[in-house]
Amino acid sequence: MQTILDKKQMRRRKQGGNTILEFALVMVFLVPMFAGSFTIGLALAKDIQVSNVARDAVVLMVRSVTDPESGLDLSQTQNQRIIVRAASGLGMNSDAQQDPSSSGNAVVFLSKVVMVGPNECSLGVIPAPNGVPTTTGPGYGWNASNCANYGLYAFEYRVTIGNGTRWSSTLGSPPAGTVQANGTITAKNIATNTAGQVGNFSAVTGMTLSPSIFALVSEMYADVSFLNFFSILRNPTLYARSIS
Amino acid sequence: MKMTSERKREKQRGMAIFFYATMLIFVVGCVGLAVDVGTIYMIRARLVAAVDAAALAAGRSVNLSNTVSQATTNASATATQFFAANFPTGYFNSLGTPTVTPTFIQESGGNGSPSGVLDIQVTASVAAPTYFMNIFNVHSITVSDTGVASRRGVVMMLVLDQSSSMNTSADPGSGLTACQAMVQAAGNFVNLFSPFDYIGLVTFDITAHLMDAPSTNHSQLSSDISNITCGSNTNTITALNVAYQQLVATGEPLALNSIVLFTDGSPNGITANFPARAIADSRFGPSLNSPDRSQPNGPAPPAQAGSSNPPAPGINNSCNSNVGIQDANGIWGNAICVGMPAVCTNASVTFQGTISQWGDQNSYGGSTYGLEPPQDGASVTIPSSCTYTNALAGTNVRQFIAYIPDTDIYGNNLHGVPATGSGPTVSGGLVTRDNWIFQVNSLCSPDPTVSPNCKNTGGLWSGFTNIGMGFNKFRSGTPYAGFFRPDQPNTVVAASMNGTMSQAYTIRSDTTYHPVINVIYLTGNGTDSVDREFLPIVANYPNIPALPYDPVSYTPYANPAFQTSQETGQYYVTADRNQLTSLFAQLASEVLRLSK
Repeated sequence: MQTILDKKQMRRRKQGGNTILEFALVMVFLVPMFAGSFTIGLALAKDIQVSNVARDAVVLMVRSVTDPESGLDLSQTQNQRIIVRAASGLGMNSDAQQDPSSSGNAVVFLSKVVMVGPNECSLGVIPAPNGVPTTTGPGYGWNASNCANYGLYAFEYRVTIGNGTRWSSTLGSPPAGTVQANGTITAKNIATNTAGQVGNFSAVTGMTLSPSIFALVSEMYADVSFLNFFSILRNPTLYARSIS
Repeated sequence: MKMTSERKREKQRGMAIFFYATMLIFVVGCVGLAVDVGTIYMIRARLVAAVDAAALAAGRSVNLSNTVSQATTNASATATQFFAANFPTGYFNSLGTPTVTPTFIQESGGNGSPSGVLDIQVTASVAAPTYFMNIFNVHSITVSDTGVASRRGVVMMLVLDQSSSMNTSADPGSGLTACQAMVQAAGNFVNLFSPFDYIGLVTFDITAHLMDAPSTNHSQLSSDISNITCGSNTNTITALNVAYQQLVATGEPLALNSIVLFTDGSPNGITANFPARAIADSRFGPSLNSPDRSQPNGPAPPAQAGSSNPPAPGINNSCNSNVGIQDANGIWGNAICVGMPAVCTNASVTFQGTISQWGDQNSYGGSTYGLEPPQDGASVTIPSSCTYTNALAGTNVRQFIAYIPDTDIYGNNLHGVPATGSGPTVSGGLVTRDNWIFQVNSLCSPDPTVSPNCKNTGGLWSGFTNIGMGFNKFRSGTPYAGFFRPDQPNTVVAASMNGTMSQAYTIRSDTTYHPVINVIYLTGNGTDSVDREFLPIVANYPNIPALPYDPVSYTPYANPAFQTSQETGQYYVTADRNQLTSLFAQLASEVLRLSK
């Protein structure tokens, strides 16, 4: 009996080093696996959050753009906090009261794009640019020449919330100076300013709008490199777009 | 004991593998379920967002067509497009192409009739792949969701001015008269609305014409608009009243109930039960072989009631207890007061119909006109106790009616609307034109292209003591002291403005239908004056914007009759008929925005 017990004790002693070695070997695989699971899991959660923020932003935009009397002016910081709060944990805020940070880790672009039609031309070409009638009869006051954006997509609205210098909208940007303080663009610029066209709208969204129909587009970028352990994510930037 | 324990361990060796294998089935199953459910969750989350976006977009797109079938086709296409933009085919390895089905449902009120709200329901479904559930022969799970967007319907009455002042000469650029420009703009305007929207038409001159009750069939409406011709006077009060009755008759309290008033100037029609003139007095008259040179060979004054012999007319200035009768241009003798015998014996009887201004808005006589039916199908009531009833029509009306009463037949206060602010037009708690004279305070536009370049903007009569009558009412000491005089065009316009503001106030007070009154004002026609406050008050616009005649330095001020508890309408003013199409389009954009 004594002999058998001694043999077992000796075997256990020999296996003591093996256990550490095996643990080390297993950890070589387990640690990256756990880190990967952690990173991908969190990234997935953040991806869902970014999608939800983009969706929330476009819903707010529907209210803001189509009903200015709602008072929900998204160019105002206090209203932008609604979006920044939804993006909690993404580094979009600059302070505890959820003001957007212009140097933070996230940005939301709010755009309204319209297919310029007769309505936009009528509103934007008042009176005819040179003050002289350009044609007679129906459509008086505008034509395809003085309404240069007719039949094309153009920006009607743009508000940027967060770090707008780090990323840019996939739709491009309206020319500097044409966006008014509240994010709107004048009827004249919509109809006549060719720099305000959104040439890639169909390519980006896959959509074709009828004249005078608009689309509200919310895009969000967020840098999640803070959770990218072992550089598992090749590009730690999340992007989501919601169109309404 | 130790031996027994060792044996037990040896016996248990195979059990670990068995337990592990058994546990693995559950673990793998749980992991597989987590992966499959996670996939379904991801797909469904995006699907929900996509159907919501599709429903909102489909709701916007129903304005793009003239028929319901076209609208539903367009809305379906739009819904599909917006869905695809938010839920690309193959998203998260979803299988096949998602199906998107829009449905249009008119909501009903408690009594089963349409409430005015259109629900656009978009249902979409897609097959989500399974990875581990494949083991159990479940290859996909269908995920579906429904998004609903409610679109507030529109019940709108177009109220278009077809008075004679719209018959201008053709514009050198467009070739259109003001009347034609209005027809063109209104026609385009109607096309901007959805076939789900109810739109009707009232045109008005001295009589209001209900051309179309609110209907979703806009083709007849468009045809009626295109056939509008202009002439006669401006009975805005009755037109607004008829339009309002149509909104109520349509009966959609949750819809955006709206009146769009287009007019080119001051109203000048009053519909009331006018008391018979049974007391002889002195008043302006188109008489005496044209002492008023604008009325050649006017009719003689009537005979005293009960007598067959016309009296010898006497010329005097007793209408004027103020100063000599002189117009704003310093011209004398353009109006004569005559001692006018009474033509009725019973002061308690009334004439029912519409009187109006005739010619210019003179403050020193001139002509008034009546009686006319206020609307199609209405009749004029003439008491049999008055003589010369066969000569009632036309400018003789001033001989038959005693005065303009304080309220019209619709119950409107002909002295104005409750004031909520202060200013020169506020008197006795009302914003009123009681003390207003129109043909004064000429302003010339800073824009040389505005035509006519100068217009009278009116003022308080107290500031113009040397002009005309100096008052809109009969003066004290006369039989009808304190009442509006029916023989002075300036007074008829003043009372009409008061009545129109009052009618608009009454309409906006409706807490069931919450009507909105929008106004487009074309100032450029005729010689009539322009008024800065009148139409913004009708629209309940928050402030008083500049007229095209105001200087660049003009600063808008608060609407002295603004009612915070009532709906606020849009107000657009222009002197250029060629802007009407744009302004109507702008208004459509506002109306549709509110209806979304």
